[in-house]
Amino acid sequence: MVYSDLIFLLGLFPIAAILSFLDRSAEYKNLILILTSVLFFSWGRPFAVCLIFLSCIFDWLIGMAVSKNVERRVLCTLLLILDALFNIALFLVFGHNYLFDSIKDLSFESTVLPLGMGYYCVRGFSYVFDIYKGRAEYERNILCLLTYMVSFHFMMAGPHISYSKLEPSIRNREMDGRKLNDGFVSLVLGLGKVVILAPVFERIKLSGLNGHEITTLGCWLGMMSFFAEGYFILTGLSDMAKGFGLINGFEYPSNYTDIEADNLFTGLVRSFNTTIVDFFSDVFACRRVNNPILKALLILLCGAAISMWYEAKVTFLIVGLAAALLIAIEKLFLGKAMLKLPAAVKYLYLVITAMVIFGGLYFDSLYGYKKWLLALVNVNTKYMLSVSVKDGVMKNLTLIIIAFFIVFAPAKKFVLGLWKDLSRRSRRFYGFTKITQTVLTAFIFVLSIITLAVQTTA
Amino acid sequence: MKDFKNFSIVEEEGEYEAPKECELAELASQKLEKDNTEAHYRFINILTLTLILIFASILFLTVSGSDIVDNNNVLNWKSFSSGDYTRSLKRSYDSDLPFPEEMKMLEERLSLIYGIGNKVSDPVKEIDEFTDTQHNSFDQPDEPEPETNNNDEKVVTSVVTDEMGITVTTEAEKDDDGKVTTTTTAIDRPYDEDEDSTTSTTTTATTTNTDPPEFTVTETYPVEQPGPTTTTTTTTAETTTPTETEPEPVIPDEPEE
Repeated sequence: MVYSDLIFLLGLFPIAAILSFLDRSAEYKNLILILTSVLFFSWGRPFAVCLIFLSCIFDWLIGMAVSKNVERRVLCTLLLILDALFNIALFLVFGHNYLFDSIKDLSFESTVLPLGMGYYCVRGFSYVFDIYKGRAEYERNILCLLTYMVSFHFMMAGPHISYSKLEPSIRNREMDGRKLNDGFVSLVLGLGKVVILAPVFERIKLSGLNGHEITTLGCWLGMMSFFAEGYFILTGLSDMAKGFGLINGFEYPSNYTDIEADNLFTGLVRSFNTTIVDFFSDVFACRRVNNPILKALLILLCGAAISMWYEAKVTFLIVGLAAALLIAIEKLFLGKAMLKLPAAVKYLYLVITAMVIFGGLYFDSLYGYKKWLLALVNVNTKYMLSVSVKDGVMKNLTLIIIAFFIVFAPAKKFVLGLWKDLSRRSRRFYGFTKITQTVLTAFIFVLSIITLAVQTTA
Repeated sequence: MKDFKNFSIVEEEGEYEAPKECELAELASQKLEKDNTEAHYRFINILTLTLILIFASILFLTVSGSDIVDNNNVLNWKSFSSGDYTRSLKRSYDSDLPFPEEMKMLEERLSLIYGIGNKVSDPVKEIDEFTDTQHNSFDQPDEPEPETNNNDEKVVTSVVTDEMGITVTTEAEKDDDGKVTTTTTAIDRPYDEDEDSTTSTTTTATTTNTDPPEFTVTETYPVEQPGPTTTTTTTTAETTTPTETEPEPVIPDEPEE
């Protein structure tokens, strides 16, 4: 089951939400959340998949052992490494099962594989890491830890949130109108991004990069659409997760940030899957080291680890290392040198570096990547723009403009600023802006449901 | 004598000043009013979204619910633990969504606001026939390029669009020995499944040499509704200037009765 399944959105989720409102105690809400999550993960898959959740007992025990031996740092470090190895093994076997296609005993059918193993394993390790660092005490009630580990809220696209930050809400959380309202709005906007915006860019991407005719603008627009598709899927799922959390009384951080020119390529990398990037940076101590050479080395290691977390492929590793190298260069001297440049130049720099580095993720071979790079500068292409790409852009022009205002931070701030000014003008204007927001949100919700229904029946 | 009936303790206006409103109290009152207004619109928002959610849930469940628990799908531990029960539930839920045709029609109507050129029941809105999700143009090796003849004057290109809107590009190439090789290099036909036949004819002939061609082949092939095919030129005529934009497919006129 995924968030955009109608049976989840209009079946399991409302039922779980109503059930969790029946009692105010956190224990009851946690129990409903665990049961819903188990159903969410076992839906359409063997129930045995949920046995993976028993692995959290291992993290719990290791956490307890670390906590009881705080003074013996060597032992604690060994225990931490053991937990890391355990979670990496779990992640490789269940999350990256394609690596074991040739090993019959380890290779599963795709339907058996659970969702969100990457986030699950990071959570397990993060719990022990927090105890190791002295940021949290070990959890005596394993049900609280189970709530943290199996909650479907942040299993699909994060955010990753450390146990020490979530623990107070797991023990005691209050519901109010603001949380409920913000949760619903976040849920609907996320759904709109996943169901309405992402498919638009998928179409343009396929026209531009998978068409049989290679065109120059097709290469540019296709790759930008590839990025936009990924961005809207992740941010949409993250918004939905935030919405589910708020409706259940939790407050999660966003798993993405606005792309700001001043933050350069480092900020661009951190804007996507922010909480995971922060977690890996923390584990590799990238921000705590002052020696520039050591820092650059740690950034490279961190880049390699994040890329392998996404996908265990050589192309991902190379792209991860290239991105980390540029970040290290920015930290060393480029960042300071570019500080005074105009914002437009910085945005141009971002577009070009993102295209050249992350463009590699789309290709399986260096040959294809090289061919695409040459096509970007109109080498070996006959046409500038194909009919299918042009159709894809023109037929979705309104949505592309909306997407631009969502992604491009200055434009977004400008529109939101105008909207806020309008609402502050008078009480009447305030009411007008609020009602307009409600109408727009309701429209997006209805449109998303209709689109999902059509996609499901198609 | 004083008129005691109209006696007023306030002899002059402003003599007894009413105490000024405390600024903090005023601020608190403003904040309370603001909070109440926010809560009011928040309530409207929650109510609207909840009603939509409940309405859609009930609608989808009641319509799909008739077949959702069919006889073959019995809930027991074995079917549940294997995932068959839930898989079957999902299948029957998804296959019996309410008003599929009307939903599709509504979605198409709504998609008119997505951009310019959308049409109801527009086949192009689907993933383009020219694209293939599994195909990556860049990772495929190039088709072997035939040896290009740098002597441009010897290349003759003929482009003919027939009644069906099919564009046939024919190239006649004369080699150094004077031998003429004819290659039908591309068939490019705009795909429109609504079109059965066409009557208009557009013919474009382009010669890129300065001397009259010794041999020109112009052929028109009756092609029976093929799917869209990408133009692939196997011989490159150096003197042909690439156009800035790929030419729009020639859309044939409506058939004459």
